[in-house]
Amino acid sequence: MGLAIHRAAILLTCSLLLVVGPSLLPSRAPPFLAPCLPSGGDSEARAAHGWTTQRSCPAGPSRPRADPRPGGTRSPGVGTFCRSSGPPRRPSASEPEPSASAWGLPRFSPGSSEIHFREMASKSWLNFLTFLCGSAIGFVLCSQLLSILLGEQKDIQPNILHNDPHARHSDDNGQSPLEGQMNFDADVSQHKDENTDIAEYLYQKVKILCWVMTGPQNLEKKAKHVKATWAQRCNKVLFMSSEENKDFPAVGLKTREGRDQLYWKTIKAFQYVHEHYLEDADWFMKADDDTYVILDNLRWLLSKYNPEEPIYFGRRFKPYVKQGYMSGGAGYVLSKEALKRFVNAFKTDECTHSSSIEDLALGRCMEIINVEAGDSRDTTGKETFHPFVPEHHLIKGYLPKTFWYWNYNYYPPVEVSLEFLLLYKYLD
Amino acid sequence: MLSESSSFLKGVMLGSIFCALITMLGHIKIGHGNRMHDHEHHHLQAPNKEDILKISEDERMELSKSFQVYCIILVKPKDVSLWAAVKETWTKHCDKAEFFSSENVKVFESINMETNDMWLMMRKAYKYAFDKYRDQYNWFFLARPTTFAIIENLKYFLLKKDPSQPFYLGHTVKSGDLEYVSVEGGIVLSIESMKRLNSLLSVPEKCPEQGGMIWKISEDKQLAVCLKYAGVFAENAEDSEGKDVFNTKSVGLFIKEAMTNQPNQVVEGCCSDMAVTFNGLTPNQMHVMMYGVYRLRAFGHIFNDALVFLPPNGSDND
Repeated sequence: MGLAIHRAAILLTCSLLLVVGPSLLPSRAPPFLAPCLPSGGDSEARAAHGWTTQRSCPAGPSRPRADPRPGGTRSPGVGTFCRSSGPPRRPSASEPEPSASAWGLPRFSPGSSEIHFREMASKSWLNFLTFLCGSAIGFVLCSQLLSILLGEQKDIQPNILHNDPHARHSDDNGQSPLEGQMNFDADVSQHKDENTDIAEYLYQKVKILCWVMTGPQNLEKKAKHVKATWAQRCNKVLFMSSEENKDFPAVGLKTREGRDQLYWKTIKAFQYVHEHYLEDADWFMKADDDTYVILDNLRWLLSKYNPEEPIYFGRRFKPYVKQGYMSGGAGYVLSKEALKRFVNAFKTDECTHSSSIEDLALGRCMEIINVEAGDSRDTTGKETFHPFVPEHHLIKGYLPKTFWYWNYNYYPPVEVSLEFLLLYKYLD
Repeated sequence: MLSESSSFLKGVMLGSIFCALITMLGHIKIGHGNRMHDHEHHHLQAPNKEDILKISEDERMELSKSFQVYCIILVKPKDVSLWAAVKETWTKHCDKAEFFSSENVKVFESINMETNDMWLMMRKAYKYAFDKYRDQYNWFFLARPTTFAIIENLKYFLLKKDPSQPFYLGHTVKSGDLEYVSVEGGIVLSIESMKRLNSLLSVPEKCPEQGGMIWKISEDKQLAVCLKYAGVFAENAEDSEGKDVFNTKSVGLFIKEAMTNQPNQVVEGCCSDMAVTFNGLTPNQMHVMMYGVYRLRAFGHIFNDALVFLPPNGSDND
């Protein structure tokens, strides 16, 4: 924050200088400038310099030269600046060359120079110092400005950990929406020598409907990217929002937005899916708009189960519910039978909107209606649903020992790093 | 008083303009060099897959074993977290990887170069590597700790190239007349180039320790200048579709650019399937890349790889 203010201040100062600058341009070239102007240092700069100098001092030799000052230690202004309009000098790296033309020499007016010279003679040293000081400050300010303007904006967003299992990501991570439709070619064979027969077979055999929890303000920011990427591997995808959006398209659930509405949204979304799309899929996956799902791996997991059994899968957490419940962050998937029972339970009042903590409340309901909490670990005992971004899981010791996560896991952690991953949550 | 303040302002103006000029010149040059399909570049293409599939199985095994890549990573103490990540991740796939640091660092094993100057560090590292390992390795790969490299793809790229020829390749950038391989994308030298470079390192006229009188020339440019004297020229490495395989940016940045510039083919328009390097990664991203490149697979997608390079022994995140 402090840095931003600092930068803004510099920016303001510099822009002020640029606006006011032209009116303060020297009406006469100070004579001491010539020797202190650094050289460009490479051939291109020199070439450019030679060209401009000749252009800006066309009448150099014919112009009357200013009288040498008494003492003659300083070289006269005009002569110095137009020196290179005479015979070209061999450029050498050690000798600084003036590039006065760069800062507006054409404004030079030889007629008034002599009077000004006398006036300023006594103050010249002070002037010289303030000038040097000024050019140093100008350089620094300008380089700061340019580094702000041209520098690559690294927006590495810190992933702040809140030690609260039901904390949600913030919705305002300042991502700018990108224009246009995107196509990640998820279904086009990008690898010429890739064999996807098994994946295509499973796509037909294990039908998954995905519904993505989002909001009107997130459609362009997040849901759009979901739609362009992993959602293409779903057999059917629905975006659930509080308001309908026919263009995206997103289903309007007629709820309010906000965290305390999450469970209502989930209930209504499953009811909507049950009403309209029950026969279109075998499995019904709920994911957030910042979750990444690798559906081919999810199909591999689900292919071993019958969708007519009451079962659901996700990242299994231990507390509060006897059979555990599935973390909302990593997403969860209900079998067809589980979906039927869940929707029915709200008709018969077996389950109610008991709490606004969506994942926990759903887990409680599932236990009441005898839907089994499935084991989603892979054959080596590693978890396949992940509630955090990859690096939090991959780097040992990243999540502190006191973090709630370690007490919530239903299964003891396996030491070796993960192999199959289905879901990642809290993506930027 | 008035005249002082006005000369101060003049100074400020001059300073600003001068700085703006330098920056402008610098950007013109860089902008010119970065153009992807600059046809003044020397191109070097990856081998054709069909050709490689023609080679017999035994021959292919033999070939993959004959490639020995030695990795040089130039580090400074401030890079320690990147250093740790690099050590844990991709460098395990080099046949040998050594870290060359500007000063003695206690936490990790490294070869102390005793200088802070990147060019001197690079020279010394090349000299050390050549003197010690010229008979054991035929390819030398130099990188910074912000780089992530996929050594298997490097070996695939080099497959049909003869290390006894002077190769100097990576991501080339043009600066004036000089074409050089950017250190950000990693620099690959064949043993022949190493031989020529080392014979030049002792000739100060051709390969000075202090190049550039006023402006410091970056170490990758200096290397190009020296190699030029030995008749070794930079070549840009590309895949069969003409995409760069050595990259000076990270995948995330490429995707972001592709989303704005070519929204219709984000992944295809972004990067090569056989990319060797990416640059500008954070330590966390190194681990994520390692997972994405070597472990994470989508079930039911089978790749018929032309070549198999075995992972290093005892690696648990290969």
